[in-house]
Amino acid sequence: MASPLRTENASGTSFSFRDSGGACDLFKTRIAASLLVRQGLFECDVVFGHALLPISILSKYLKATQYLRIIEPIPISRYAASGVTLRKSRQCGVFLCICGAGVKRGSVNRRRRMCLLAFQTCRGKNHGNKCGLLRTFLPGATNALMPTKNGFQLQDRDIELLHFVHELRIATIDHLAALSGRSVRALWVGSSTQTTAVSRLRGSFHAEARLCDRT
Amino acid sequence: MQKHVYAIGPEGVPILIESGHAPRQLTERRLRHRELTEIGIRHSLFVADIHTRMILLTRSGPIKLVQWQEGSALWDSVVAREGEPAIPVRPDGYLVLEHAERPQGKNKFHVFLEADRSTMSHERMAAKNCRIPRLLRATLPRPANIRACRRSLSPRSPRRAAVRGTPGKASIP
Repeated sequence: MASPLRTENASGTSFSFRDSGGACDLFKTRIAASLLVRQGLFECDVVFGHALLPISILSKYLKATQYLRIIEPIPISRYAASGVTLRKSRQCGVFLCICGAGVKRGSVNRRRRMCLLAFQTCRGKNHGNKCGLLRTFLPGATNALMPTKNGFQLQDRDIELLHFVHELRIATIDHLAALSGRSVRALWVGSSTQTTAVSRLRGSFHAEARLCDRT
Repeated sequence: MQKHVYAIGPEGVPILIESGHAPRQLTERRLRHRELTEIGIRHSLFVADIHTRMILLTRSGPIKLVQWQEGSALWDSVVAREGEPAIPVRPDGYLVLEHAERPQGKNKFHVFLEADRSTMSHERMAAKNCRIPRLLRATLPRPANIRACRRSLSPRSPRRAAVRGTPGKASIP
């Protein structure tokens, strides 16, 4: 697969990108990888198209460049089910790996507990990107499936809840309680007699983020 | 207080289709809930608040919510004056209310929703409100009586608190 990165001028002040929006994170990774490789700072180890970069080197470099900035370190555990491909490099203990949400979930190595950096492309005057590169992982977000214990337990008649969430696009427990006429407590309390259908449903809700309640 | 935000996951899609709650085309779409930013999530939750309120208020009574639409299907642009660049029009939602007690042909109210979480300046909000009537005037075959009706429903406003406190009594604007 050809790199989507293309330098517009000699100083490398702008880039153009030709790909769908789904590859934004891959693009960001490749920008970082290409910059580092070009500067001779690091020999990039690309696994399935995703670059693994040592954070120590990348951090130094990112301070000097206008294109990428560090948002905050995010522990890998928060990405457990979000489709992060993680492989240990030979040189350092901590590495950076950013990839899109379209990566297969099975490729996650859940045993690793390393720090990741989420970084974001800064929008510049000459930035050729038109696919929303400012979007990135949410700091503090959890993309994991809901836990099966002490979490949101779906019952047989909960297809209507799925329907409500589909209608609203995203919803909190308060929305579901209001629309279904059931109490929040009733929605949260788990049942010991789970059926096959329920277990299929259980995985269909994703905890997207923990947000401060406005009220 | 922190709360989880839920979205339909990949396993929920076939169940929704099986139960007839979603079209088959849903399987072809990519789920992009995870790509929302924090601001985007807060904004979407605010829209979901309004949607929920509308569903609840129209469950009983003569007014029914017959359509609710969000997303890129609503996006358009309008050229205000010749030679000027096109202005994007991206409402947060489009809904149709139907009044059962009014005569046919005059019983539907089409509403474009522009939700503001008190993060937008008044000038920008006013400019946004002007764009949809402009777009409609430019696209409709005959001149229509269009008004930009602004209802400020800020998350922190006393009005919102009042509406929240009296779920059955709030009137639809």
